[in-house]
Amino acid sequence: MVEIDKRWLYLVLFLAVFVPMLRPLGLPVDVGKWSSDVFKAVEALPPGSVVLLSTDFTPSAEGEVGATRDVIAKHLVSRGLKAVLVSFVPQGVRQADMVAAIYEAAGKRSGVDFVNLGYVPGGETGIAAFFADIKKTCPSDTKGVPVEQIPLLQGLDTIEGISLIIQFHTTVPGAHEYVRQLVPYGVPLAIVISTGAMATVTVYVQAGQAVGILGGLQAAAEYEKLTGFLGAATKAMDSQSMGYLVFISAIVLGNVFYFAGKRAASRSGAAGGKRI
Amino acid sequence: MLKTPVLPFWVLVGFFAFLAFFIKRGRRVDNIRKISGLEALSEAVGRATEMGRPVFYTPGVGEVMVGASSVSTMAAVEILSYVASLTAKYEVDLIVGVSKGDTYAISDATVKQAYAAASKPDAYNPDMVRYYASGYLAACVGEFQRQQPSTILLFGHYTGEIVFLAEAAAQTGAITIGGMERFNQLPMMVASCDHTLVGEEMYVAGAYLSGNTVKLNCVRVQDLWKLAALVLFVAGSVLATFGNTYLVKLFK
Amino acid sequence: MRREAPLILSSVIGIVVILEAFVQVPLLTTIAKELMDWVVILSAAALCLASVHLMRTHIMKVSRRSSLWLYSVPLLVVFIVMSGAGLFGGTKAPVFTWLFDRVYAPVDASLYGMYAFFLLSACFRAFRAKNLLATALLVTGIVVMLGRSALGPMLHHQFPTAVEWIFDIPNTAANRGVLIGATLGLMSASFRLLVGIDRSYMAGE
Repeated sequence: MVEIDKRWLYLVLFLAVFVPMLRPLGLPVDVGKWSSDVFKAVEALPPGSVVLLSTDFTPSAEGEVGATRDVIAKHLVSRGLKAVLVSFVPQGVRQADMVAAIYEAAGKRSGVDFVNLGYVPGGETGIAAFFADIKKTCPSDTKGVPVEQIPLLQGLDTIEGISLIIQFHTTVPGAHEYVRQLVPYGVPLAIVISTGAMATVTVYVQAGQAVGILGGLQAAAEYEKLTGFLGAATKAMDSQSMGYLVFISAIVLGNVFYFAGKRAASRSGAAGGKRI
Repeated sequence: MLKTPVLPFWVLVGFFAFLAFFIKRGRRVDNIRKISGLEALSEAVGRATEMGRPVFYTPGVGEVMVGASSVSTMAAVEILSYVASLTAKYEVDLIVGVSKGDTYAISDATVKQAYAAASKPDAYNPDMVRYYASGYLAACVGEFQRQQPSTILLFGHYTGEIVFLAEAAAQTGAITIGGMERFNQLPMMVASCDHTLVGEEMYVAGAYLSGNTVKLNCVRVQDLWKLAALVLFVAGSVLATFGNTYLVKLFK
Repeated sequence: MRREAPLILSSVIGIVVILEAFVQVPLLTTIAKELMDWVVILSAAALCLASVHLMRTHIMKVSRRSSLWLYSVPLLVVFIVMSGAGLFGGTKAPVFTWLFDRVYAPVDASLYGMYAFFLLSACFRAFRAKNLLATALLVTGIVVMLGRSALGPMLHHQFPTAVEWIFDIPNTAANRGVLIGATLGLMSASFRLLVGIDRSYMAGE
C-alpha cells in the first residue's frame, strides 16, 4: 500500500478552503426545494405573527448554522414578524442574543417586537413544559422583566399561540424532541440543521411534521439568495465547494491506492507498506 | 375521555400487554441472532490482556436523567458492566471516559459493582472512571494518544463527536467496537470501527450479554411488533397504489 | 424500602405522565404539568451538581499531584473566572459576553474545525470500495457532496434533483425502518424501567 503523510492532505484542504476566501470564484448557488419551503412558510405569515426561534446550538456549530441564524433574523425583521427566543441548551442563550441584536439594530423593541426567554433546562421534558405553559416555565426574560409585564407574551400561554417554530438542531434536545412534543399542538415547524444530520430529519418533512429543512451552509446561501440578504454564507460557498472537491479526491485517491496495493500484493504474494 | 387520536394509546397498551405476557409466560429464548459486535467484546478484551495495554470505554455524550438519549446511555452502561466484569476477570486496565455528571455517577457505581461481583474489589480504582465534562472530545482523543489502548469501545449516544473518536481510534491501530442508536453519524462509525451495533442492537445488548430470559423475551416482543409494522407497511403501500388510503388515514 | 421506594416512585410518575398524554382528565394534566416543572428544576440542580463535581475532581487532582494535574490548573482558573463573571455580573455583563464571544466560542468552534481534517483522513483511509454495498455508499456520498455544493449543478443540472431523490426515497425508507425499530426498543426499555426490571438508573443497586 502506498504511504502518504496525512499532513499533505491537510495542507491541500487548507489551501482549497483558504484561497477562495482571498480570491472568490463566484460559483453559482442554486436554490433547492427544502430552502424554498421554509422561505415560503415565513413569507406566508401575516405581519405581526409571532415566530418561535429555538437557538439550540453551541458555538461549535457556528460555521454550519450561524449564517442561517442571521439571515432568518433579517428575514423575520423585514417581514414585520415578532420573535420569541428560547434555548434548551445553555450556550444557546448567547445565540439568541445575536438574533436580538439584529432586531435591536433594526429599531425593534424588546418585549414588544421580540423577547429572549433564556435557557430552559430539562431537555425534552423542558420542551414539553414550555409548550404546555410558556409563562410558568419562563417567569422572566433574560433582562429580568417578569413575563406578565411583557406585551408580546400577553395572550400567549401555550405554544398554540405561535405561528411558526424555527428550531436550530445541532445537539440534544433537537428536532426529534420537538417533533414528538409538538404532536398535540400542530404548530408548523421548520428545522435548521447541520449538513451531516440532515438525513435524519427529511423523514419529518415527508410525513408533514416539518414544513422544510435548512441544512448547513448550502441552505444558508440559498436562503440568502431568496431573501436578497447576501452575506457570510454566500461568500463561504466557494470554500465549501472546493473543500468537497478535496474530500471527493481523497476518496478516489484512497481507493486507487487501495486497489493498486491489492494488485501489487497479489502479484508479489506479500503485503507491502504500512496502512495509513 | 381519551384524547384524539386514540390509535397510539391502544398501540401502546397492546405493546405493553404483549411485553407483560411474554415476560410472565415466555419460554426461554435460545435462538437469538449473533451480534458480531457483542461477540467480539470478549476477544477484544482478551487482546488487551495479551498486549498489556488498557481498554478504553466511553458511553457517549447522552444523559441518564433526561431525554431519549437516556435509554441509549443506560444501554451503554449495561455493556460497560459486562466489559468491566471482563477486565476484572482478565486483570487488564480499564479507562472509562464520561461526558455528563449523572452518567459519571452511574458508570462509576457500575464498574465498582462489576469488580466486586468478579471478586476483585481491590482491583477497582476510582480513577478508572474519568469525568471530562465539556472537554470530553479533546480528553478522549488525548487519552487514545497517551494511553495507546489496544481496545476502544464507543457505545451510547453521539452526535458529531463520533467522527473524531472513530478516526482517532482507528489511527491508534486499536480494535474499535462501536454502537449507537442514532442514524446520522452511523456511516462514519461503520466505516471506521471494526464492529458496529446499529440502532436497536444497542437496546438488545443488555439482554444479549446477560442472557436474561425476561429481557430476551422483551426482544422477542419487539421482533413480533416489527413484523406487524412490516405487514402494515406492505399492505398500506399496496392499498395506496390502488387508490385506497384507509390505512394511511388510520395512522395519521 | 431503600430499594423499593425509588422503584415505586419512578413507576408511578412514569405511568401518570404517559397516561396524561392519552387521557383527558384535568387532575392528571395538572399533576403531569407540575411534574414536568419539577424536572426542569431538578435538571438545573443537576447542572450545578455536575459543576461542583467537576471542580472537586480537579481540585483533588491538583492537591494530590495526580497524573497531568498541571492541566487541571488552567481549567480551575477559567472555571472560577467565567462562573464569577456570570454569577456576579449576569450573563449580559460585558466581561461574561467578552469571555464567551472571544474565548469560549472560538475555542469550541476551532475544536470542531478539526472535524474536516479528521473526516479527510477518514475519506482517504476508511472509505474503500471493498464490496458492492461499500461501493454504493461511496458513490452515494460523492453524488450527495456534489449535489450539496456549487459543483454538482455545474456538472449536470439534475444533480440537486438526484440528491433530493436520495434523501427523500432510500434515505427516508432506511431512516423510517431504523426509527421504528429504535422506538420499539425504546418502548420496551421504558416498560422495563417502569415495572422495575431494569434498575441501572439506581447506580448499581
